[in-house]
Amino acid sequence: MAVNSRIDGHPLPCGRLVEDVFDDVETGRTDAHSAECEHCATARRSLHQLTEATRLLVEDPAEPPPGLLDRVMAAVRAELRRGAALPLPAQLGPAEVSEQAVAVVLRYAADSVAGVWARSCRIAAEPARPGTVRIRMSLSLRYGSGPVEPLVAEVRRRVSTALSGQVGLTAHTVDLELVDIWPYERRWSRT
Amino acid sequence: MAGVRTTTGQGATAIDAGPDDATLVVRAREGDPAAFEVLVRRYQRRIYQLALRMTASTGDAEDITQEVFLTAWRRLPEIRQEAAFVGWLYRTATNRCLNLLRRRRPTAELDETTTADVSSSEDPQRSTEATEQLVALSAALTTLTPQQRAVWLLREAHGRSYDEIARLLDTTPHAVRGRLARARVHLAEVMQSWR
Repeated sequence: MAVNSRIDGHPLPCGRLVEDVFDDVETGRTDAHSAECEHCATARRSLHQLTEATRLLVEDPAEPPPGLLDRVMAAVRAELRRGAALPLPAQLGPAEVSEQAVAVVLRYAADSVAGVWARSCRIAAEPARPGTVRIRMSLSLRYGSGPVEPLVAEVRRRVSTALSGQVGLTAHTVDLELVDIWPYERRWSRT
Repeated sequence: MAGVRTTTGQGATAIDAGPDDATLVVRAREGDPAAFEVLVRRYQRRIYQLALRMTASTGDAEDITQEVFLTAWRRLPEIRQEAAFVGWLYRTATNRCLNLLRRRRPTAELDETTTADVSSSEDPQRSTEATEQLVALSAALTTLTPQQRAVWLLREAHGRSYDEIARLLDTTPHAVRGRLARARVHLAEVMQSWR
């Protein structure tokens, strides 16, 4: 390929290719020539040096500028798509609350059950019954958190409580769907 | 409330302990910016470091990182494989770096700021020798072709798989191995000559 043509096999003065010397280091292979050849020894040293520097780069000390996160999030919030609004039961006039805001409250309630993360959360008004909504939530469960049924029942209870206590709406139904199970020791980030 | 885990805690530990990527991607897609913020906190460092070592410029690395995350936010509705979010970030970041390097004149490749950045962010515990090694490696990286640099960084510094790198650069795992071997020899040689 044209891109790589300017860097090809690298012969050492002793006739061996650097590529082969590196292969030998990785596979632990050695022979009479490489044990005595100073060119091969130099090539091996250069590989060790690179390996050491690579380790430093894996733990790269370079940090993104401190303002980067804020700038990204300011742009994100400016572009936030307004979601659906849910009518609230109100005495003195119409009032509504955004579905997104209610979803945050309900996910938080579900997350409070150990081993459970709330994923999707959709809330729809029940037109026939003012102040009543239908909730559809998907859950991700940590493997080994105990029997699923009581956990799900607890999520349902806390979600309903949060809905009436913190939002002022009543749940007509709370549909819960278990969509993912993750192992206890799973790590999400390499860093 | 007992047993409540926060999803936006400070520091790497709290972020690692937060929800999995797939959960955060779904939440963000449904309009929860706090979930997206956890994803940015989780990956901004790795993406910035990749862009910095690719472009050798702190300014370009910053611009690319910002663009990558903003694009991610806008494309959330299209990301179907939620768990593959980090792979999507790497792909977008690498492509942006390669596009930028294609436009840039070859002589403008080495930016003084990279060297300055490495020394300024130096940990007191980090020895001068280690800093020098890192500076030498960063400089040696700029002598690779952009494609080789991408392959070497994604594999050796970021631990991405041969298959993923091959898909990302629209080539085969075999070709990735070849480029990696050539990049390694070249880097070792360049660093040796500076000693």
